[in-house]
Amino acid sequence: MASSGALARGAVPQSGLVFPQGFTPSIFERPSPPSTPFKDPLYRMPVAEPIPAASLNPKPDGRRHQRFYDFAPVKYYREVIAERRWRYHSDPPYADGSWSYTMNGSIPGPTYHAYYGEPAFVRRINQLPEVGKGKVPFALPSTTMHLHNGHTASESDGIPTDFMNPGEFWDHHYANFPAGFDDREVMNTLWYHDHRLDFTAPNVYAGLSGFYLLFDELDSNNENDPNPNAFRLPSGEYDIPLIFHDVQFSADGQAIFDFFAAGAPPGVTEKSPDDSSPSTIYKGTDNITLFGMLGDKITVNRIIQPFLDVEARKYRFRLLNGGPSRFYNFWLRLERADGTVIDNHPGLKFYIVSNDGNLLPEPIESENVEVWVANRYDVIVDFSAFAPGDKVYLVNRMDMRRDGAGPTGRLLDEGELAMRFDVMPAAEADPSRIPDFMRELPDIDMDEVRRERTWVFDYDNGLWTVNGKLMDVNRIDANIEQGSAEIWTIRNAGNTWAHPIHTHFEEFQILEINGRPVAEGDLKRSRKDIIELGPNMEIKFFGRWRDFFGTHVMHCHNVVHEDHEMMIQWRIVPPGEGD
Amino acid sequence: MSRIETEISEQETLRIQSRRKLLAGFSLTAAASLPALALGSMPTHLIEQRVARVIDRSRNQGFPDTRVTAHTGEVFRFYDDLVHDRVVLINFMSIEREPALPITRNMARLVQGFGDRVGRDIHAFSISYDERDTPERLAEFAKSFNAPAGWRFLSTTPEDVIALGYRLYRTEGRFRSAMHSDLIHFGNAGLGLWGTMSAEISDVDFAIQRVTSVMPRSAIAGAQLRQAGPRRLDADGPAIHHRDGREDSHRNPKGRS
Repeated sequence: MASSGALARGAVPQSGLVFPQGFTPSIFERPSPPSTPFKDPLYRMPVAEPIPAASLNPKPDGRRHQRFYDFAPVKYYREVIAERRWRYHSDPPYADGSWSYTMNGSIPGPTYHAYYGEPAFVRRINQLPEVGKGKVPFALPSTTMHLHNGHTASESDGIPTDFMNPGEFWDHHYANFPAGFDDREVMNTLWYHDHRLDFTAPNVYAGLSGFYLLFDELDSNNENDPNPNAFRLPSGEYDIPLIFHDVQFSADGQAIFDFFAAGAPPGVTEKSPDDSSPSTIYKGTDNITLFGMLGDKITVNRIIQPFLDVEARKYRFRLLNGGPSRFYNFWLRLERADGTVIDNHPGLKFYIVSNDGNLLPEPIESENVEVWVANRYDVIVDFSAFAPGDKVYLVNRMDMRRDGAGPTGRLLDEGELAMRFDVMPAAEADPSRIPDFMRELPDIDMDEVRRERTWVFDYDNGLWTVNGKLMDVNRIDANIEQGSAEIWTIRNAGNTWAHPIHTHFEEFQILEINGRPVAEGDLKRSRKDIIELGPNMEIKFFGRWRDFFGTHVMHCHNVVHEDHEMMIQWRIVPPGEGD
Repeated sequence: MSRIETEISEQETLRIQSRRKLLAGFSLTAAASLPALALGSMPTHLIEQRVARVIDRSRNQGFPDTRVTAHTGEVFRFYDDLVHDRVVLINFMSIEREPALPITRNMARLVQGFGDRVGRDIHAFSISYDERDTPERLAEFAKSFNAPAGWRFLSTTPEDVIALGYRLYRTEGRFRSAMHSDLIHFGNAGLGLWGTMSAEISDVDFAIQRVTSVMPRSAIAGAQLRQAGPRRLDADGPAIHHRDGREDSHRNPKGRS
């Protein structure tokens, strides 16, 4: 299916985005200023640098953390959160920089390289300007940083109510051990992001997200590892985290977040009054950010449509959808040096090695990977299938509802080009491997199940609800006994909404999707921390709660839904005190 | 007048006439729904047109600048006169529905918590979606909550209420049958910084803190970096977070200086 020139025409539109005919982006009324696609290189976040423990004043206080001395920190970090200009693109007006909430001067924040068996201590300092003094008007200079999905005690987890205001700091203790001390619970790709009560969407959008990678002796960050059991996945320069955020910019290149976005795209289809869709009566605006916030510029590591020079060898890309509301369906597309466009070259595939940060039992080959908000998929792409001079595009073919509340269900033909890989000759032989087998799944033992719970996610007349309720910080919705297992049913009572549902602290395993067990070899047969809850879907999972006590949350990770109270709180309690 | 405007105008006259007849026989519960009232017998496409006219999307972040009447009898432009550059609390209510959905009772706790800051640092607006809530009835209702001057109970036309409701949280033409709560909106309109919370307020102090977070505060000169948390495991503190017990001693959330 080679179509010469088609992509060449579509690949570099002035707008920087490719929309098929008839598709009107939600930002129709006020599109971001144009930017030249694939002009700027991909940003590679710095690896977080440990600091001497003695440089922390006041010094870390173990009395503030559960099991601090069981997992005494061996690495210490300082992360300063401050408002800085960030250059999303080198074209004007972006070239002057967009005011952002940065971590140690960077967005995304520095990438942590953590190792199992090496507990870490991170002091986060809020140096954001006070309300009204800053240059990012839509975000709140008060933050709590969640490590998603660390096996972390409540007080270090970054729950919504644990915020720090300007001039304050918070200490996070990351124990870096697998849940239940079970090696099958080892995770690899985590991320950290703001989780501020009421303001998570604008705060993450303003910049507050970054990667936290965990390594162990098998996934060892060394593709030349002499250990015969090591997976030897591409490492170092060839292990690249990619976080996707869609952003909308004003005419002067500043990121804008519309709480009540203007925008009345023409030609909205009229619906009958008994249609449960909320656009039934009033269509003055189709982009109320209570549903979702869509930007028209796809950024990768906070650069608009970057390029990356790649060697003709294997790479490990850690795909992460940082939100706020857009979902992605990524495919690869090849453009030869002569302009020929090829969509079905055998090299255009992903070897998916992990789901939500958990290495799979076996890699799964796929032409595409669907990434909902907060989903992480580590994929290996082997560029040795291509010739130097070839260009490989990462194409997003997910068609989103204009209001941001979920996908339309359609696959875009052309799609949007998120980034480009420019293939270069390989410097040397590729020592990395795609292993045949990786991590076994932990056992599912129904004898451990103490009880079942059902959580219904719904939309009611302007409100996002869980079991008919809005989030109440004073209400604990489940008291779970430490060391027990439970089966949770997650149901979507809406017939048009999609919700990426996330529960903190431990991974779960899906038992059934709409009543059907997950088949062997299915990508969803994995440990996970996000449920891709489509319209009318019902998903049943098995989960465990171990090692710590305290309060955590489960919520929709369309962070706009989350901010509008689509969240519950659960608490781990001693055995015998559960509900 | 354009053709569509003429049509709207005719329909409005018809609708108002039929409403008068209809109301007498309306069941009380049904009558309380915001859009049900507004919908009346008016064709959907005309309601859209009517509502769209109310909203000038080119300014006010698209906030409807509707004409509203306060329980005091004063008439205001909602955005220009009342919201504009203020820190505000906004909720939707109906006197009829208050026993079943006690949102105003919770607003009252919040408003009382802010003490004399209400009317000065923060302004509260309760917008009735029930056409029968006349300024006179709302004045009585306000009195039952000892509403201070900075808390206004507003009424306007059903279409304008819909416009406001859609702008804030897009309520739809259905009853809140399964709900026992609603949202309270809080925002710093001057900055364009907006949040919501459940109107089911179980902890007034914490609710005040949520609202206070969008208000400017002066940095303490020479203040040292302080640890927000986590507090010591053996220290007393609220169960809902791990912030240190000394928190906000300097923040003055209730405005005592």
